[in-house]
Parts: sequence; C-alpha cells; structure tokens
Amino acid sequence: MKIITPLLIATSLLIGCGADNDKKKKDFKISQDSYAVQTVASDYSSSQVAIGNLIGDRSATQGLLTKAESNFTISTYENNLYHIGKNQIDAISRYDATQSVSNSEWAYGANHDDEGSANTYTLVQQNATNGYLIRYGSTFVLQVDPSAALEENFVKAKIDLSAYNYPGSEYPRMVDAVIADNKLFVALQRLDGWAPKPAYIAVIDIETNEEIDTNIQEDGFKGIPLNATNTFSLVEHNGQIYAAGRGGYNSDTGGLDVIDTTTYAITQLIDESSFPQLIDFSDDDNNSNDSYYHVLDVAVVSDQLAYATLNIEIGYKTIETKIVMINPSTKELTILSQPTAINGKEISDLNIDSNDRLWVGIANADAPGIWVMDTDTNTISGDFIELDMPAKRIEFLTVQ
Amino acid sequence: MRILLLLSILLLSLNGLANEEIHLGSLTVGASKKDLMNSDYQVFQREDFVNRYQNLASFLQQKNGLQIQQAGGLGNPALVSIRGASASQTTLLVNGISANNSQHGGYDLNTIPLNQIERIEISRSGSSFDLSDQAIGGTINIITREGANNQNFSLNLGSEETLAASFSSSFDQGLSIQVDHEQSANSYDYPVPSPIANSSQRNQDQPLNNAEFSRSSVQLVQSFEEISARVRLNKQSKNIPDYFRNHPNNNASLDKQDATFSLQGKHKLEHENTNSALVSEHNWQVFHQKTNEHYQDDMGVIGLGKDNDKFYQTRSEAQWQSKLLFEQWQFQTQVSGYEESFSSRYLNDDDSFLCSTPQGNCDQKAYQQGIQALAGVRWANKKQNQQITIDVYQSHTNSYNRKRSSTKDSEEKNKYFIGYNLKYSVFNDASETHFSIKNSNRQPTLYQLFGDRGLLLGNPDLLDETSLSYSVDNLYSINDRHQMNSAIFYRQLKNAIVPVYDSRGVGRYENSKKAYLAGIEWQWRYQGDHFYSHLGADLYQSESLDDNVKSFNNKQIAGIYHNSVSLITGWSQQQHNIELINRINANIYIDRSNLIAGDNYHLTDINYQYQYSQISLGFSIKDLMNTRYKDFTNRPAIGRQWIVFTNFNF
Repeated sequence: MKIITPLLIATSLLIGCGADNDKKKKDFKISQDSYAVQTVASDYSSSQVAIGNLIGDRSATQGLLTKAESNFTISTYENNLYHIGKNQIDAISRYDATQSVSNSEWAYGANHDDEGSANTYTLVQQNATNGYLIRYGSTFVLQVDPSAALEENFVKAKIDLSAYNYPGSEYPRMVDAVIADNKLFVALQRLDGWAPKPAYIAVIDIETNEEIDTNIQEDGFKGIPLNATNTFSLVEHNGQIYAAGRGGYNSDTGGLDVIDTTTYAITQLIDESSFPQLIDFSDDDNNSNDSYYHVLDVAVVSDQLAYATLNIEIGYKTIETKIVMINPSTKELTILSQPTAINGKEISDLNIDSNDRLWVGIANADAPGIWVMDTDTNTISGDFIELDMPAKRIEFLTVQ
Repeated sequence: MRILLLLSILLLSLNGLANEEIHLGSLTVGASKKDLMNSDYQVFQREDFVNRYQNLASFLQQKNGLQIQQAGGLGNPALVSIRGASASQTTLLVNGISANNSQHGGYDLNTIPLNQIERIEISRSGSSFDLSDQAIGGTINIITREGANNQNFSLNLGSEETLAASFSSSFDQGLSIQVDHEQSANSYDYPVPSPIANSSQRNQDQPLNNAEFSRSSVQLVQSFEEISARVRLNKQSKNIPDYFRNHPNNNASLDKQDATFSLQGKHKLEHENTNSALVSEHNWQVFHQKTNEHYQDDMGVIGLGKDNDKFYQTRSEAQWQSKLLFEQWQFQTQVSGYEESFSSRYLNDDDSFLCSTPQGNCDQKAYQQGIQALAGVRWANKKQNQQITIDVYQSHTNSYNRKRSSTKDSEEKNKYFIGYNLKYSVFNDASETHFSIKNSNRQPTLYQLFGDRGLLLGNPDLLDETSLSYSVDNLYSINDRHQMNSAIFYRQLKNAIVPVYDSRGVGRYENSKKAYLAGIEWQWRYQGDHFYSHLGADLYQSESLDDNVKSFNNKQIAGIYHNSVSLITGWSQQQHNIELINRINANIYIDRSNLIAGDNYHLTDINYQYQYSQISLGFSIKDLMNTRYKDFTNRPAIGRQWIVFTNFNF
C-alpha cells in the first residue's frame, strides 16, 4: 500500500486537470487603420488571422481566429472583418475590429437550401445593409444584409447563375465579384473538371437582381466572355474591371483582361505571347517538364499603374512568382526585378492600401510574411512583416 | 467519473480483506499471469483477449505505451502509435508478414477478428530473437489460429446495431476452418456542422446516415507436422458518411475484397556432436495477397465531384529464417524479398488518364520491390544473468510507376538502408533490465512517391524516414504479487514525411528536418488471488525541428497524447470477472503548427465476463459516462458503446 498511495495521489492530480481543455481566446482590437491577413499552415492542418497597423510599426499580432481547419478566408468592409469558412465549413462570422477580434457580432451559415457545400469565397459589400456572398460550389449568389441581428433575416434574395454551368458540371464556379456603377460583376470560371473552359463575367443590376445582357446583338450568355480562362481575381478601379485568369493547371498561361463597366468592352493586357521568355515548352508528350507562367492576381493603383503576379510553374510545381508592372493606358508591361527581396519568392496575394502601397504576400513556408512596396518607386517600405504561416489573403480595415 | 475512481480505490482497499478471507475457488477467468511481462517485449495469449474485448484495437488500448488511433465507428481503420511514433511508423505483422500497405502505408488492426487470433506479440525497443522489430515505433505481430481443438461459436451484439458472429472448427488431418462476420449500422448521434434540413441548426445531433459497415472472412488452415497452408478470404463494405451535412441521399462507399494465401514451414534439427548439442531451426514462408477496392460516390457528396474509382493491389513475399543455438550462443539469419504493385483507375475522371490534375488523381500502376538480409547473434553468459543481442540488416527497395497514358516506366528509385538493433540485458531473481539502441527506417509509400488520391501530388525524391532510438526497459518483481514495469527512451527522427501545400492549394509530401521524442512509461501491476490492478502512465516530451516550414519549427509533435494515465482494476472470483478501466489522455496538438490544442479527456470502460463450463457470457461498455470530447482528429468522439458477448465451445 505504501507504493500505491503516492501513485494514486498522482493519478488523482492528473484527473483533476484532465477534464477540460483550457482554450484561451486571444482578445484584440484595432485603434487605427490596419491590415488583416488570413494565413494557413503549410500542411493545411490549421489556420489563423494576423492583424497589424497599416503604417508605422507593422508587426503582426497573430494567433487570432485560430481554427483546426485551413479552409478559411477573410473579407473586410470598413471596420468589419468577416471570417468566412469555405468548403465543408460554410459559415461566416462578423467582427467589429474596433471592439473585438475574438467575440463575433454574429455567426451565420453560408449555406441556404443548398444540396452540398456552397463553399463561399468572399463577401462583397455594397453598404451597411447590402452585400453578396460569392459561392464557388453553388449556382446561387446570396444577397445578404450584413447588419441583420437574426440569421433568419440575413439572406434577402438569391441570384441564379446556373445558366453558366458548363455542360456536365453542377455549378459555374463563381470565384470573385466587384461592385461598380450599381452593378454586381461576378466572375465565373466554368471549369469542366479541372479543364478550363470559356470564362465569363455575369453582370447583375443591383436594383432588380436581374442579369444584364451585355451583348444584345449576339445569342448566348448575357455575360462578358473573357479571353483568359480560369479566372482567379477581379479588381475594380475607376470604371475598369481587371480580371486575372491563370489558365490551365499545367498548361497554357491564362492572362489579364480589363473590362469597361459601362460599355463592357474588353481588352487583353496579358496573354500567352506577352512573356515568351518565361515559357519553356518541349513537345515530348510530357507536360510535367514544361514551364509556363500563370496570371493569378492583380492589384490596381491608378489608370496608369497596376500590378499582376505571374506564377512560374513546371508541371504542378511552383518555381517562383514574378510581379509585372502594367500601364493599362499604354499596355506597357515590365517584369519587376526590383526590389530584390521579392525575387525568387512564391507570392500568394497582392493588394493596394489606401496609401497606394502594394502589399505582397510571401508564401514561402520557410520565411512567410508580407513585403510592402512604395508604388511610385517600386521600393520596399518598412520592415518585412513576419508571419508564422503563409498569407492567403490580405485585406484592410479602416477605423471609422 | 470521480465516483468510478473511488469505486476502483474501494475495490483496491477491499483486497486487504479478500486475500485473507476468501477461499480461492476454481479460478476459471481472470487476469492472465502472462500479463506480467517486460514492457520491451510482450506476448499475449488467447485467454487474455478472446471474449473480453470487441476487437484487437479495444484490447491494445489498455496496454501501456500504445495509443489507438481510430476515428469514427466500426470499419474505420484502427491504427496504433507505439511510444509516441506515428501510426505509419508502427509495423503490423500477420504471421510474420507485413500488413503495412505499400500503397498508403496503412493497416487496420481490426481486419482479423479476435477469434481468429492465437497470440499477439508486441516489441517496442528493438530486436527480439522471436520477433524481428525494425519499425521506428515498434512492431505488433498477430499469430492467427492454426487448428482449433474443438468447435467454437461466438455471438456478439452491441450498440448501433452491431453484430459479430464467428465459428471455428477443426477436422481430421489437421484441417480447420474459421468463419467470421461483423456488421454495424454506426448510426450514432453526431453533431452535424451544417444539417441539410436546416443549415442554421449548426452542430445539431443527428443519427449519422450512410455509415454502415460489414465484413465477412473465412480462413482455412491445413496443418501438417512441419508445414501449414493458410487461405484467407475477406470481403468488406464501408459506407462513407457525410460528416458535414449528413445528406440523406449520400451513398458513398468503399468496398474491398482480398484473398491471401500463405505457406509456411518450420523445421527443427538437433545436431549431436561429441560434447554439446547443436540445435537449428529453419522457418520459411511464402505469401501472396490480392486486394481489390472500389470507391463510389455517385452523388458527389464527399469529394469534389462524383467518384467511381478502382484500386488493385498485389503483394508477394518470401522469407527464410535460420536459427542456430549452441551453448550460450544463438545465431540467426533471415532473408526476405517482396514485390508489391498498385494500380488505380478513376473511371469518372477523364483528366486522370492524362494525370493532369493537381489533385494527384492519376491512372497509374506503381511497383515496389525489396529484399532484405539480416544477421543476428545473441550471447548469454554461463550464469544466464547477462545477454547481448545484436541484429544488423540491410534492405534494398526499388520503386517506379507507369502512368496509364505513358508507354514508359518512370525512373527507378533505388534506396538502401542499413539498420541495427543492439541490446544488453541483465537479469537477476527480481528484475530484468534491457538497454537498447535501435536504428530504423520507414520507406515512403507509393502514394507519397507517386501521388495520393486526395489532394496531394507525388514526390519521387522523398527520402526514407530514419530514427535512432535509445531505451532502457526494466521489469522489477517486488514480490509474487507486485510488479513494476518502467521504460525510459529517447528517439531522434529524421526526414519525417509531411504534406506541404503551396499557395495555390497544390500539395505534395516533403521531408521535414528532424524531431526528437523522449518518454517515460511505467506501470505498476498487482495480481492477487481475486483482485488485480494495473496503474500506469506515459509521459512524453517532443520537439520537431524544421527550418523548411517555419510554423512547424520548435513545435511539439502533433497527433500524439503526450500524457496518459490508466488505472485498471479487476476482480475475479469463481466464474465471474469484472474489470474497470479508467483512462486519461491529455496534452495533444491536433496540428503541426501547435495552434490547436486537442481535448483532454477521461474515459471509463467496464468489462464483465461469466464463465460456466464451456459457455462464457459477458458485456463491455466503452466510455461508460458518455464523455463528450473531440478525438485526435478533432472530430467528436462516438460516445458510449456497449456490446454483449456469448461464446460456446462444443
């Protein structure tokens, strides 16, 4: 019994601390304009959000909104941060970043009478009471009221885009959207399995939720046919919409289109002939050793200055990402070789802040983080923002 | 739960009276004295587990230093972690043949029903001349039954419409047959994150749809004096539930059939010379297995689209082992060779023919061939109180694949590895102590090399995982009734294979740098005339060092409970045996980046058995208190399960 007693005591002590898991939430709020970045672990086993100041000391506060899943993204509107669970999560939470980035104002489902996972990619917000959930795995855009205090009042209407389903597919794969001229522009990838097919932008009249026919003279879809396939990103600036499409997954290059929001005229800024030096194609029936660039993202400063990422891939392997500087007016393209800090890196996201600085998400697993660049000189602004995990999406919050 | 712990303590304290006052009747059930063994190498016989546990995973879960990894209900693969190693770093042998699948490295502890098992051997720290343990974590060898002495029938009924039945019989001339069937509806209540009927009712408890499982197997064994032949046929079907929405129309399923043939021989020769006896033993085995799998998801509920995928696998292996015993020396040599092939057909996916998807779906045939040669020596001094064991082995593997769209094989990947086990053992009347060093490896699986059917591409340049482990295992018999097992170990692991995704979401396996894991395992055992008790704990500390992936660097190894305590108390008297098992598991990170701490939990199981003549009856309740927690995958655990056993020998 002498031996038993201390062992039992030890066991009892362990039992006493065994029942509950102490999961302390990290409470945080912002007091000035800030950036927010969704980061994801390299093995996709967890994710977290990081937030920091837009100017001055930009060091990131990490460990916010930690999740055991990786399929999360963020959207922002003024001081509101939306944490969106995508495929097989289908939930959206809103946080007033000036009050708390731990306790949500509300948490609602992003599925709505859907058969499978709606896989919400983003919330595009027009004003305090009107926004749109863009859902990759659904045929419907959900018009929502972000100010709804009850979930039953969250969804206001559904906009059906099933006409754009590629034959044999169950949904058109809407990937991004922007609002301009009181219209909602929705990018639709329209993949056939993994094979990219003609992509479109559907244009919705916000007043009526009806689709606008952008080309009355022709039969077919009402939307705007894009030159580049497999659209990944839409950005709007001054009445122009920039659509970046990566093309196929191990072949062709995709490109960058710009669309006038009034006339719907489309101009291609980047195509497969833009950078022949970045293509290495050997006609040996083995596409795993061919090198292509893929246009994944775009960020716009002005009518004369924009940036896009060119992801250099061999087979399915990313070699590096280059940034190309674009003059949309003259269509001049320049691959940036400066600053050297971004050379040879894998870049996951671009965004422009309110000070016209370019935010570059570095996704290299050994040293993930963000570089901020002054776009008038294409030089680094401030220190490298170190992150624990690669950034997936960079957004901005403003203190009202 | 505290009441149950107090009950355990009460049972323990009552023992002080029991030993003096209770006359020992005919003890036909109870804890086997063979439980009293060193943590380094353990052997369990049939009476230790038959009619006491639902399956092998349930039995092993009680053992010190072992963590069972099974998410979901019956039919989901049950894996095991030994001494904090990952499940893939454990080797499961069936009659000495590896059950680890070269295709995906997995195995299922519950593939062989307990009723078909004769003996279970577990090695942790390295070589035993009886069980060749070359795994990073440890090795489990299941020896199946070879000829029942009588007829036996058992029937188990349990929660979630679980049913298991088995029949075994022996005939003249050494022929025996075993037939088993088990099934379960697995329709336990599950908190559905986004119920399809009403997605706003998040985490609403619903009976899980489309989770049924059934498995039938038959084994024929023909035994002669020195040769036995074994044929085993297995068919199983597992429906795949939609854990996210619990879709009522979900009909995803994975069907599997496999056929196994093995022939083994054992020859013992005594060579007399003038002074000493020289004994040699020669064992050989040939084995062939063919497995077909069919995964279907007509509704496209589970994956990213509709699936109709077929997978075929074959494995052939031959082994020869010779042992020589001469005075204080034992020598052994072992030569083995195997060939394994795997082919896939994604029938609904045109892109898979061209292998042009970033998912890794690729119609292909992959091959792996390997040979290994081992030499071992064991020396014991004349007093038999010291022993030195040395095993050295070299393995060579060759892997390559051919895509269906290609007419050429890929470049062959050849790998060599030299491993060794060194052990020094000291024995005295009260204790035995083993000092061990083990150098082991784990080869990448064919999926890891050539593409996974999930969201991961292949990486043919993957290196083997390697480890160097040091351990000290001690068994101390305090007296006839009290025994203490303890072990302390340290393991360095290099090149652990981990999935890494890039910013596009395309992933493949990579080698991480290194990790270490140190641990203390101890167990105190008491065996009285009627009462028995085991109290044990496992305490681990680990760190991964990976400067290729910043968020993995200087983090605790994920997926392993680093603190575990178990208290097993039992009472056996005449025909009755009752056992209460309390387990606490704590300190686990779900993810490699250590953002997500898993749930600590305390579970209580109860087992009862009644033996009358040739009939035994019993019941087992797992998770008696229906504890709500998330398991090592961060998925809600099933909760309370019960099963009633009946067994007839005639």
